[in-house]
Amino acid sequence: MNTSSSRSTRARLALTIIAVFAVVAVFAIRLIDIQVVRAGELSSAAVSNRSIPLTTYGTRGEIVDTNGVVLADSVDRFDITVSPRDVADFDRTTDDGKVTITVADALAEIGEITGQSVDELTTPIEADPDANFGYLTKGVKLDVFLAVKNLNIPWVFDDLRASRTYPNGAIAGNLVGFIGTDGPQAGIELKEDECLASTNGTSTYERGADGVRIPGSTVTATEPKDGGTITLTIDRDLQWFVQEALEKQAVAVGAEWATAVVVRISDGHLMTVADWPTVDPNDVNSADVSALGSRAFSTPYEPGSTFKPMTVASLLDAGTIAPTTKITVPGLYTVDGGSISDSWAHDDLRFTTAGVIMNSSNVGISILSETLSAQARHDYMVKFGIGERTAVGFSGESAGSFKDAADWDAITDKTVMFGQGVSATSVQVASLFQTLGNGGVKLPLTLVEGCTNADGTVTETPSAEGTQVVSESAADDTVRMMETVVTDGWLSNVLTIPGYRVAAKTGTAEVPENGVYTGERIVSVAGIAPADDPQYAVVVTIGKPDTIKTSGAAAPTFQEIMTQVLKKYRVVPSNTPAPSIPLTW
Amino acid sequence: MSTNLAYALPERNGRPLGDPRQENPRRIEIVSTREQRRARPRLAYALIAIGGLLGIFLAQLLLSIALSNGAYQISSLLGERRDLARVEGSLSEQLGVAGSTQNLASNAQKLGMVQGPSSAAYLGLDGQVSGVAVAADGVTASSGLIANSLLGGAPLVADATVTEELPSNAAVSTEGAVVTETDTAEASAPAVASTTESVPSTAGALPSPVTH
Repeated sequence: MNTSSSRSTRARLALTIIAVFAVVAVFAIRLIDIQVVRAGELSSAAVSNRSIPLTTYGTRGEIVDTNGVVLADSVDRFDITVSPRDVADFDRTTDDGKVTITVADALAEIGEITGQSVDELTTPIEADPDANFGYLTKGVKLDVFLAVKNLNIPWVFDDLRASRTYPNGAIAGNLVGFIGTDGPQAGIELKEDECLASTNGTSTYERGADGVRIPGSTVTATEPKDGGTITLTIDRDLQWFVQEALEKQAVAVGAEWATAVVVRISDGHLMTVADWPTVDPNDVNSADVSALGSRAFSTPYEPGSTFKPMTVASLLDAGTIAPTTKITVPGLYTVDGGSISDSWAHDDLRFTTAGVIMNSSNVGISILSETLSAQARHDYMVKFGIGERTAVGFSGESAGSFKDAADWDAITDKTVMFGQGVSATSVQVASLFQTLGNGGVKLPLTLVEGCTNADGTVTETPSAEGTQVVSESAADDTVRMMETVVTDGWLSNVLTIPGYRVAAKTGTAEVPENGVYTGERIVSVAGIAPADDPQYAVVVTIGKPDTIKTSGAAAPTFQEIMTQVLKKYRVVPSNTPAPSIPLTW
Repeated sequence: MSTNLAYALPERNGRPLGDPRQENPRRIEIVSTREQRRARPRLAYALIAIGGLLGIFLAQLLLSIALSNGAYQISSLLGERRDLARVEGSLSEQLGVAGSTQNLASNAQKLGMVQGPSSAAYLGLDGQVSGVAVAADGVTASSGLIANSLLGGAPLVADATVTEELPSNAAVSTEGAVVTETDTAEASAPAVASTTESVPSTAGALPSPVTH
């Protein structure tokens, strides 16, 4: 029976239900709004609060010598930074309780560790007191950094700075190069930067307020890539020895510059490329600007008589002469436009080809070169690598200058045969002697053995393809003739190495300035040992010496270096005597 | 007497005899049937369910604590690894400088070593000695021409005096090298000069151990 009381009860009930549903509806709408409509942006905002990408650093690759000795190393250095706006006195808890450390005290403590005065340290703080960041010290080592960190000064922070150090100092400093503020500046650091450079990665994961990674959160990371290791063909200990010997002699004779190159004949690897003066990459500022690179690669000069073996080998290969060819050598040789003479005045002499080499007769070489056309002689020199950069491709390497045969005047036609009127670098001369010692097969000169990437793969290995420039017999005969320089020449007692047969050629070149030959000389000695089974070629060049202006300046250094090379690499001594070749007739 | 006629016993107050409502009209007792009793939910099952639920919550709490603990441990170990890697880098840097040829040469010179002679004698496979053997002259080659600015003023090994045996000294010096991280690159280990008597060598024979 519907009484009035039950009607009102039902009405109130209905009202309550409607009210409840209304409230639920509000909540439901809100819920859908948050969970469905704005879900994406809200969750990404939340994640971006918790997960911030961090940079993970890769390390730059090392440069090592052929035995794995590190020549260039990547190291950690630290910058001590300050937040000037937070600088204030602070309390430190010590064994005696809380101690208040004033700013001056704190700076004095820091200064004691880093070796700076308090004034130096207050300068960055006072320069911009509202700034958030300033440098107190840059590039300190780990022990200094840890000591400063242990002071626990709340307004002092730190930054990692990747640096480069060269543990062996000036050894191979001309080759390794160095890094400046903008990146690599010279040498292998510059040339092989692609292999050596590292790439940074990022690491993103969710972390709590104290920086600890929230377990179960995903880590997205791009891995940092370390740089690869460059292996050079240089032997550090030999390079040191050669640099010492070269510097000693260059200073003794008052030279302007000097170079020494040691090549392994069998594969064209450069064991040593020494320059003087040279640079210590740890201390670039104290070196002269001209010493920052490698003169052996970058500075061509007129080589002089060290080109004569190349001429003779070419003529032998062409078949126009033989080692025993007899010629009469006058004291003066005239051509259109000039005359050529020897380094000593003489009447007609009767030399064989071997005699021309042993006595280093310019006139004799000129007479012999008449047997072959200029173009053919020019092409031989090109095949030997003159006028073209070596396969090393060093930073700033020069190709030298070598005119086309069509541009040769009557004098140049003869002078290029004995290394004047053409310029070459020390490494080009070394390559020439490598060819002669290798049975006429020219191998590409190699400085970089390879780039070992972080994942273990080895790239940039040099090619070992050789070219036969002259026949084996032509090269061997030339080497045999060069032996007479050591056994019978005027520098015999300086160049002889007991127990070994050594083939060498001296060179005393005139230096042109503004088209006129001056009184300066560039002297060199280039040689191959052992002559019966050539293993190593050494070229020593001394530029503009003051006291000794003949190749006698370079000869003792050549002997010293070649002896060390033969001793170091345990080269088997020669057990057959040199065959005698007629020098005169 | 029996009859086949149904007859009702006399009722009092309209109720059958023996009815509890007749004895106590206010007392009402509801008794469930057997089926109802069997269908009633058991207490044990409820307790197990609730207990399990609580156990799960407890286990989840403990696991969560262990996980967070692990996360902190990972964080601290990663920090430790980074610090140790830095120490290793610093030490290998010092080692590289100490092993540089300039350092070795100057130390060797300080110890009184001289450069070997230019010529050398070789013992061939055929037992013949080739080459000329020359005694080293007392002249040392001048070293120090090739600069290494990292070495500046480092004390040379020959200055330190050590009297301990070699094996134990090696352990001490490695420990010492880890602790002392000085700013200048120094040759890390002090010189090891064994003070035990050296066995005199017999000329022409290799020294060999005495066996019994």
